Amino acid sequence: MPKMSDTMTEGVLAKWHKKVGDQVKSGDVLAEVETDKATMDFESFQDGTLLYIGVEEGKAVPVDPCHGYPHAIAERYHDRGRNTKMEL
Amino acid sequence: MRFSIERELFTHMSSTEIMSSIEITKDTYLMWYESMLLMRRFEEKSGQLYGQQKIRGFCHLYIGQEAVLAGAMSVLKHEDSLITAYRDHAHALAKGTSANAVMAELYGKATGCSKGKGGSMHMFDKENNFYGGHGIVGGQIPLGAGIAFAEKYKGTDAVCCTYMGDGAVRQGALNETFNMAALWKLPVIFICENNGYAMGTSVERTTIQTDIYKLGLPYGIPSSPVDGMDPIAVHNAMDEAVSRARAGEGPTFLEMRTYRYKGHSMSDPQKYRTKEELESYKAKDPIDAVRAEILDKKYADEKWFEEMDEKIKAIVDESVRFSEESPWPEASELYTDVYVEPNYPFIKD
Repeated sequence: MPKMSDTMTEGVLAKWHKKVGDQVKSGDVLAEVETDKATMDFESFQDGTLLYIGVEEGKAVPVDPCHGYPHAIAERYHDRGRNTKMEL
Repeated sequence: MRFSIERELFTHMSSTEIMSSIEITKDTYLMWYESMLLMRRFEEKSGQLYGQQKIRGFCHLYIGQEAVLAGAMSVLKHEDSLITAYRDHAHALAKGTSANAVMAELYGKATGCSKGKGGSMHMFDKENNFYGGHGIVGGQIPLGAGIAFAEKYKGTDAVCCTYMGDGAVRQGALNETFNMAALWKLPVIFICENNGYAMGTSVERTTIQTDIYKLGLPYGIPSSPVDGMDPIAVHNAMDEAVSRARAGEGPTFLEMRTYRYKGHSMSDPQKYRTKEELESYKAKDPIDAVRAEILDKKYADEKWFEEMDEKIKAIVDESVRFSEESPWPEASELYTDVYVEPNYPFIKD
């Protein structure tokens, strides 16, 4: 779960905008996350396909400094044809 | 739409001729693309790192506004000074600070351009004549005129570009500064980066006089709006303003009409503007536009762009690696850079 405000300790996954199998581009809104201050759009930093959703709608997830993303995994397409699995 | 982007020509307020004109060449376009892409990718990475808590505190991203600096880079010389507010990562890069030094400063590491003591809002670089990096809204306006005063006093032909936002122009200090700068013909270019919103407050909700450039007119300062999404328009306006300043004709006030794609800072849900407005400005993205021009004029081919993407990615990735591996400042650094006088009596061991 990324830290989306300076005082945020956990985020509630309010709504997924993408489902498993969707193509995702950098900048696309993946989900809406409720923080202590406001409901924020969470955007993808990668291009790829959404392979797996680890957090259901309505669940709260603590801010995780290691991963920074609400537990979705996407396969990243490199334009040279190399596929890299990245945990977003 | 809060205002339409007008491709306004810079209207001459003085009767003297332009002393010099800096031509826009193929190399200018290539430099614009490379520098704007570096700013864009660097800021995108900074946003991502903030989510991962590598960068803490405040973080104000410049994404969307790159043309304002690119068009200045093609005009300014190394000796010219630059001062701005807190949306300053790109200004440091534009002035020549390395991506390593800026990223390390964001991380708070000792190898940062401000020794890790400034953070996102306080980038400084003496060698490159970059005077920061200021948190107080509008506080940098009189400082910028002061830098210009020093240049005139020393008899150099260097100028000072003083950047501010659309919120900062409401500060009383702007009026005092404009009056003195005009009266004493200081070599300062005042630049308002008008992205339409002071945090979440639109220009229309702030004032009846929404043409911000007109704030310079009562003081006799030649003033003009500029399409801040177009590096050519920015370059031409800056060229004329800088020439006037170097010739001793005094200040100019440029209102750069631009847009930031992201929120004011990191915890901004942007409820004050519509997605349609954002998309309409993304359609005028300066990096895409310069890329199209380069291909159209055959200044470079697709391969050049691929190599440039790789080059910029490598620079940004290296800045992250450098920052990860750099040391934190020593605890003793709490007591340095506070007073000019060494062994100041009130700092105890």
